[in-house]
Amino acid sequence: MGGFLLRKVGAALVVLVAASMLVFIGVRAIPGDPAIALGAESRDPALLAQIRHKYMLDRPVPVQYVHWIWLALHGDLGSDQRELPIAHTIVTRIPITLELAILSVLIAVLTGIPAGVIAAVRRGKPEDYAVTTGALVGLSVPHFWLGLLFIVWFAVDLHWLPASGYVGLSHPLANLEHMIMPAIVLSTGFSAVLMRQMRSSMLNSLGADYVRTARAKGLSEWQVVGRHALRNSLITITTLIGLQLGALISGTVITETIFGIAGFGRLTIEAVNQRDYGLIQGVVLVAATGYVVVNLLVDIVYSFLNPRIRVT
Amino acid sequence: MTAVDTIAVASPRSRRRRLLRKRFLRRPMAVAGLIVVLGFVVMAAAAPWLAPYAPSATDFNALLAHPSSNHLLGTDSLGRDVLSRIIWGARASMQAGFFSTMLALIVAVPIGMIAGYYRGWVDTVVARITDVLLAFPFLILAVGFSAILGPSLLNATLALGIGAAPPLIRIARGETLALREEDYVPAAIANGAGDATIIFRHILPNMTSTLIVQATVTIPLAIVGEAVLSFLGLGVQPPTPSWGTMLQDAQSYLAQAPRLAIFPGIALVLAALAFNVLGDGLRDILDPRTTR
Repeated sequence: MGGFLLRKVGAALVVLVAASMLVFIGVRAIPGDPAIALGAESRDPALLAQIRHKYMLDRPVPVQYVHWIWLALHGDLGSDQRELPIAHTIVTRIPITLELAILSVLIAVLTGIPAGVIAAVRRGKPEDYAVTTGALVGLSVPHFWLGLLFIVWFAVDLHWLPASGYVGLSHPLANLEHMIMPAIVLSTGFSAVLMRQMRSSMLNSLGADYVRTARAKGLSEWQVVGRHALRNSLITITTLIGLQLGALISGTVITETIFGIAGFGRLTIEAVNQRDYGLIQGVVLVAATGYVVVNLLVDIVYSFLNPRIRVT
Repeated sequence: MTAVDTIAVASPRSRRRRLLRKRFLRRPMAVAGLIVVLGFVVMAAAAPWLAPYAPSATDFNALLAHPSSNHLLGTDSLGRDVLSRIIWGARASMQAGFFSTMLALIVAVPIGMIAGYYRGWVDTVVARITDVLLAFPFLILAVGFSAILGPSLLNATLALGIGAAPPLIRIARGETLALREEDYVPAAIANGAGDATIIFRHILPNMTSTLIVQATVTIPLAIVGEAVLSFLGLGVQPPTPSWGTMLQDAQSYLAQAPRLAIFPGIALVLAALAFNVLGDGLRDILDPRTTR
């Protein structure tokens, strides 16, 4: 087990280091002189030289990289174009996005898993068709369009919910009012994937020998489905959550842009639109780190649930 | 006698093709998907003849007009015909969908096959690089690349193609790993075939069905990706019509003219849905477990 953990963590570290290099090189490949952008479009050579010196742009790229990573490891990602500390900006934005992500995963799990189970148990019946069709539509409707539709229906027409903005958790009700639409929008894709996966793995489990045994010893259908088939299907779902995380991160970018939520996702787009190199670097590094770390956690949880994995 | 000859002459390949066609035609959803896909392709190709108005022609007497016989789907804030813009917008979508998927396949398949065929250090390097690229979500990767390349349809297509490549590398690698163990590989080596012959003549043809299914799954991703990039201002630039830019414009008029947000979205969903349904159908009929 120790060796397995060590190997997994080692691989994740290698991926992270390479990803950080890629981000660093990628940002330097963006056309345009960062010094000019930092100097508010000034062309004064003396000022530019001063800026280059201050941001270490006059040093070789590997030196810049090591310097950047060294500071990043100490929680300092430098400052953005407005001279605000990037790490602080990111830290204030992340909780908002986390709340959105957790809410939407919750909604997806609460809708996707039961729907998938129902579809499998009632295979070939109208319930099954309703769920499979719903999943297909859920997969094909893009977040950003669904978001616009929700705003039109629930905010503009019905006046049930506010169209955009964010209220902190200190006002729980107002917070939920602002977050519920974006969370539902963000959950649709994941929910659809869960339904499909749950349905097919439940169908597998329901055909397995231990389910026949459970039925043979006279357990109720409820016990057979809930205690035996469902429990084994849940293992597959753990991996899915890891695999869907990327879609979730992309989704927050779009959802936050549409609903005017100043979270981490919208920060990404702001950074790209303002060509704020330091900010882009920091945001992408943090996003990639989060992604790799969560995938690592999923791997570890999965190995606990399914001991066979640890051997290979 | 002649009838017997023709049957004997029919190659296993053409027999398989006929079998696949029959299986395909038995799936009404997949056939419907194919028809809708073809409809969008025709729409994109024949936009100048199909569209009732030029996509950028403004009619200042009909700003934000409701649907009427003059403008079947109404007009936008500049008096441009929505239907015409949707028809022209299909060009950007289909272009991004097909070309970026093609680019992804051209980049990914050789890399994946070489990694899977030679294994050893090549495989390790490729696998690690793919891991790194997969550490960035598809859309973040595409946003990053279009930020580097600058906003335009061509660059969005390139960015989506590069963004879609990593998972395809994995699939091509996995398939090659499995296929190189098939009996016909040593047989080809015994016949004196070189590596290139084995990879391209023996392994590649045997993974085409997997690749076709993957392509039909990647195309809708790229189509939605193009719309998202354009929506965020990183793809097609106004006044060129694209469903994404139309939805972006619509955002400012959600209260006055919600239909501006609805019609381009329906086109987008219909296109994505058609490709997904077609992909599902193709997977069903091409899956080796059900075909053999």
